[in-house]
Amino acid sequence: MQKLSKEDVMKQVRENNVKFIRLQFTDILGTMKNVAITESQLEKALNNECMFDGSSIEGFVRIEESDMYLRPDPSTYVEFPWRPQHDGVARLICDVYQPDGNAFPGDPRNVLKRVLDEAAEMGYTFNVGPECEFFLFQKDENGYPTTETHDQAGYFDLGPVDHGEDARRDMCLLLEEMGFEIEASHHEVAEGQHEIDFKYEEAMKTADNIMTFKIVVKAIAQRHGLHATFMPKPIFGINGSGMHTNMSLSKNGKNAFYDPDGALELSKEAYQFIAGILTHAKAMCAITNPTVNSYKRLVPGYEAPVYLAWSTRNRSPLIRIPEARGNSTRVEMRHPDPSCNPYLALAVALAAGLDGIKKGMEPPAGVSENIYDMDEATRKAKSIDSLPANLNEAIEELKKSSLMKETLGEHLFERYIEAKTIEWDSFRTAVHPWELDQYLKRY
Amino acid sequence: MKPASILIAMQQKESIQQIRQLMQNSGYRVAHSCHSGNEVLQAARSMAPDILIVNETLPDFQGLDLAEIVIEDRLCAVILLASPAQKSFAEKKMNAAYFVCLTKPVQGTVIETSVEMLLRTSRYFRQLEKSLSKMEKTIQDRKVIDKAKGLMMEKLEIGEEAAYNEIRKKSMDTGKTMSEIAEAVIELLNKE
Repeated sequence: MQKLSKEDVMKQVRENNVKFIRLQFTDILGTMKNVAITESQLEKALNNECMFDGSSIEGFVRIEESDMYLRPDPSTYVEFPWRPQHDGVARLICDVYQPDGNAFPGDPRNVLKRVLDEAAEMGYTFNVGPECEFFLFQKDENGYPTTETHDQAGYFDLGPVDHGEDARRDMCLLLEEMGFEIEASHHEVAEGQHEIDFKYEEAMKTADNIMTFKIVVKAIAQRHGLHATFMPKPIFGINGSGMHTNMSLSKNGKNAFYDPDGALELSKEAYQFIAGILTHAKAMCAITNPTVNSYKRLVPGYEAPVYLAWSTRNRSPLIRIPEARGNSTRVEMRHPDPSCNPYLALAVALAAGLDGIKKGMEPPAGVSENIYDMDEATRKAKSIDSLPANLNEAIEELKKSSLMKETLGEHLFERYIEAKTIEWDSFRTAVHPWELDQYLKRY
Repeated sequence: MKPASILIAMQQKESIQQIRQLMQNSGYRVAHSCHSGNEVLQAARSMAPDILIVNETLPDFQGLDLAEIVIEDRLCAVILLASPAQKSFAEKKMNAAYFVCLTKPVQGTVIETSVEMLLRTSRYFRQLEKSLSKMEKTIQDRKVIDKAKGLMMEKLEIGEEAAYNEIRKKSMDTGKTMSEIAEAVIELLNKE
């Protein structure tokens, strides 16, 4: 994508008749927030003078320190192609700053920026390519989403057209218009499930792209009369939606994970990075898999990882090393799901990997057989640990981790744990349909 | 010409029935009738109707929002049945070539006339848009070919006609368009 300056943005807005600009930022739970301004306010916004009340936003601040400033990043300027030409809408992604001019510690983009700076000091650029999966569901007559997949032709049937395929094609076209390079787009294993992969980019760009991707997918689904969801496991018994994350480090323009003379043609850094991820995987789970529902996906049998191991072949472990070597050498982390806050997820993954490099960690031997077929004793003998079983365990693991606390910063670390604990408690105390099915008649 | 096909979206069965009858009596084909906006979006995409007749409110969508999507995505032309208050707002917002707003209560003959008119204007505009984009493409192509010609004249020291003939010959030999050849020429000569 093109790098734009402040002046370029002003010029494009004028030339393309853009009337509204959405200033976007992300709260700690990964929800995108918008402040819409008109083009007449744009210059002020680009001069970092646009203020908003942060106290009403999840994970931001207390009332007494509620004024926050948005600093738009001009290079993120893009027009929404599905809006009418004559009243165009564009967006700018923003960093959040405090009135005193310091970066706001509760801004997830700022957290990622800090870790990227740390990597840069060590000479590394962090590149990430995500594979986002999602479901397209039918809506009922009142417009509420159901869990009927379009393929099954829900409440009405129009014949041979697959509305999901049609919608996905439109999504890809629009994403391309917005500057994405789409690498693959296909129907997934589960009915109604889709995957769109876009080209790897430097991590900040990728995190921005993931946020953009989600709103495009949702908006286009809506225009096709469908509902798109990134919920990790909407239907019991079929595959959930993951966000496999392909990661590599580059140093001096070269892939630092590739070493033609290393074992499996992987460099020492690659192994140390893998070791770092495996060491901190449990602690980062509350970030990469942040919802109660995330843990319904992380069960054996549905192509989602459960065990902390790595492999070059098998898809059951947490980390897989895809075949490609040379500049495409990468590490695929398979546990994150698309309900995560991408800024935080990439920040903790990078911090974990860098920790492995800094401490010269060594990973356990790779696993080539299917871990799901091993019994517990074998797993124990090979010291293969597993991911947290639910959000509560993940929160406990997060609490224990000093690396996570340092990476996220104390402010965000504490608020995040607080928010997630409330979420877990509300789940824990609710009475679920499953319980009624099981117990109502029996007791 | 095949009979124009109509998509109807109303919440009330009776209203659908009335309009369906009206349309069929006037010789149109009613492709489908919908009770919700999401149904309209799916039907409009898969059945390629010519005109959507939609009520201002549906259980899951505002008729105007629906009209906006249908017209922006070039699915078909729209007749919106709305209250007088909404009419002026709607007409300001929408492209008149593909959109008519009628105030309720509306007479059958008014709907008939509107359908007839909208069919004509929308087809006419579609044609215009097609030839316009064709013209834009031609201008674009000509610009590229001119640029390639200029480069060839300068770098290869040949005349304008020779340059043009060269591009045309390559185009015929390879089965590629002249502008594709011209782009390749520009890339090649700029490298040298």
